[in-house]
Amino acid sequence: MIPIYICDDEKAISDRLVHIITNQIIILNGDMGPVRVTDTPEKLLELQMQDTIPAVYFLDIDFPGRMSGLELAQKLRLHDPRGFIVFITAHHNFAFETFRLRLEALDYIVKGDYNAMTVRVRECLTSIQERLSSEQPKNGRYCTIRLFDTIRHIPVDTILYFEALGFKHTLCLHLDNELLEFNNTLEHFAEEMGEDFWRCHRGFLVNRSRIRIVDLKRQIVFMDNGEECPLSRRAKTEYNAQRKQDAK
Amino acid sequence: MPLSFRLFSVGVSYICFGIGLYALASGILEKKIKALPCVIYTIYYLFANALILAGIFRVYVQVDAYEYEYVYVNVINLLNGTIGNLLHAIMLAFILRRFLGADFWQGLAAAFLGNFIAYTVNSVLMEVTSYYSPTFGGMYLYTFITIYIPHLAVLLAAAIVVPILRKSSFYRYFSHLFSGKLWAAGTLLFSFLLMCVWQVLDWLYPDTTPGIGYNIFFFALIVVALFWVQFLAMYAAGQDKIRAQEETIAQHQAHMALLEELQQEIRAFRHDFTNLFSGLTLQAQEGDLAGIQDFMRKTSSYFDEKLGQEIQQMDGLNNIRLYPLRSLLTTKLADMKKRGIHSVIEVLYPVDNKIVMETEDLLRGLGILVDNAMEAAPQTDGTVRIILLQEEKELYIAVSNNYDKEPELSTLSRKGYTTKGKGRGTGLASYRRIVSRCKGCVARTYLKDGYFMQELRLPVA
Repeated sequence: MIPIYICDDEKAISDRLVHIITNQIIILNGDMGPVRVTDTPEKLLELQMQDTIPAVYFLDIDFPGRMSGLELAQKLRLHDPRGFIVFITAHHNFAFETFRLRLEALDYIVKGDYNAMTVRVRECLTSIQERLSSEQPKNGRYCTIRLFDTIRHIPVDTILYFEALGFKHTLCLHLDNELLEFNNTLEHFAEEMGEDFWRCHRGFLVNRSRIRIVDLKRQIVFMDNGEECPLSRRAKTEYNAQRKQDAK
Repeated sequence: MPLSFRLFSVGVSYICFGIGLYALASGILEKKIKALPCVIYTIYYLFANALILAGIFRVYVQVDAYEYEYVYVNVINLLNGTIGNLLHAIMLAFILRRFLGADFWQGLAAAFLGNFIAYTVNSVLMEVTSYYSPTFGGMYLYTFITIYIPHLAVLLAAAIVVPILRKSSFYRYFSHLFSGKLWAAGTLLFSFLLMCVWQVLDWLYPDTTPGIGYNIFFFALIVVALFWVQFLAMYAAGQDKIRAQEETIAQHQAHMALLEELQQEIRAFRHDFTNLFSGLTLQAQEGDLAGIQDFMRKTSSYFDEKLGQEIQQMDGLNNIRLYPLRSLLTTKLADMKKRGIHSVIEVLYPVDNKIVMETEDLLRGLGILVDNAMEAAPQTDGTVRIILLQEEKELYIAVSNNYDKEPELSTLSRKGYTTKGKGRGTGLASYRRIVSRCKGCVARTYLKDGYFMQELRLPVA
């Protein structure tokens, strides 16, 4: 069962939401509940600790005189990084993009018409159900990277290669459909990633399992998504020596 | 005097000179003085000069006819001076570029200027000390006074000049001189001539005995050079001011346009609203509750739809307290409006000037991101979203756009990638350079829900 929390200081709204949500859970036959309601962010943070994660949170965007919805969501995320956050707002045009990108908020519901709210809640709950069922427990290796106060866990098999950008220890991490630039050293990752990664050049650390072809003649390593890394002469000799050894 | 002591003295003087040159040049460029490049340059300087000295010595020995010797030595001296200095300067520029990320030509000019300052201080003091040094006390004291003091003075001069340059943010003006090719060439030439002045004079008038007048001439030269720099500084500052004013005017114009539009829409809205309400009053009089409820449902989001976006944009822009940034975004938003690109800007909390990155870099970087997003957004129904969120420790920036054809990230990372044809697409490369220059920055590029996302996270002091 996935717990559902509602946090809104307007009782009329939270009552209405409880009603809508409990109805929709029955209709969707979802594995969700119980629905808990609080009127202050502090109480929600306490409540969150008492039940399982991930959970679904319906949060008001603004609590006058208390922490903002953004702060509350950030605190909730610390404990429940994979939970589902939906905001409740009075306006159509609030900064939802910010919330979506920063907190991976799922959606927002505009206070007001009962039927419109019902449609929105149903959409949210359906999408949560879909996401939960499509999510398989991943038990591959992860590469952890600290960015500011957060630690990102990147599945190793999505990594193509690390590239040193030369100046002031900047690295560019090439992932499937993503580039990430940050401060660190190749040495650090060469040590952390171990044998699965290969230093084919002074400035490149490639994922062995993502290599398609090593072109010894042109000294290029082709990755399976078409990207190319240079192959240094030293790495080439090492590579040849290794192959000879394997052949024996 | 033993040879070892002589060599030691020469070594010490070159080391002092090398360190001084490095410090002055990096001071002019307003870079941190780092130990490793300094040591490398000093060692290079020491050995290169030793080689040149050895060369002179050999030539000196080989020449036997007395009358030719003089000419030879002079030519070698010129070589020793001008070409040697040029070599040293080029080397220094390379080191500055490699270790401190300075522009090569700027580094070269800085090396020339540093050389001029160091040389002037050194030679003037050499003249003075050899003129006033006591004749008694033996050779050691004499060497100490005439060699060690002038060379140590170079270090002292560097220690005095560098903080002054930093305090007066000389580099701002200096870099302004390199904005155009002609200006850059002129500056390079001028600083080169300044550096050569000593050798040229020495070559032209080898017999001149240095006197007080001679020294005064050179101090005057320094003063003139300083005035020249000061004048350029003022000129540059004036130019900056004019540009800043023009920018402010453009920003105000864009702002006014936004306000005007808002006003137009409010007027239209008011008109609508009176109409709607007269209908509502009628319904209320008739007691048509269902009709009123229907009306409420239809109009509840009406205001948001009509005016919400403009108000939100204004709110967002008003939250940016870093005025150049606000001005940049205002003009970009106006530009997007003109091109028919739908724009969203969200700035939830105030953005101020506590960002670690240089403001100029920030403007350039964000400008590149927004320009790219505008270019890549489809002609019809293009959307660009700009999000700024300043929190306790970081400023989060995200610029995103939708696209016609999914961009391939694997080709994007290549140098000079562009979809815009030849001669463009340097934007991303310089963006990457800006990011890699800023310590603690995190940049992320990815695709999400049909949007091409560029994220930049900057540390906040």
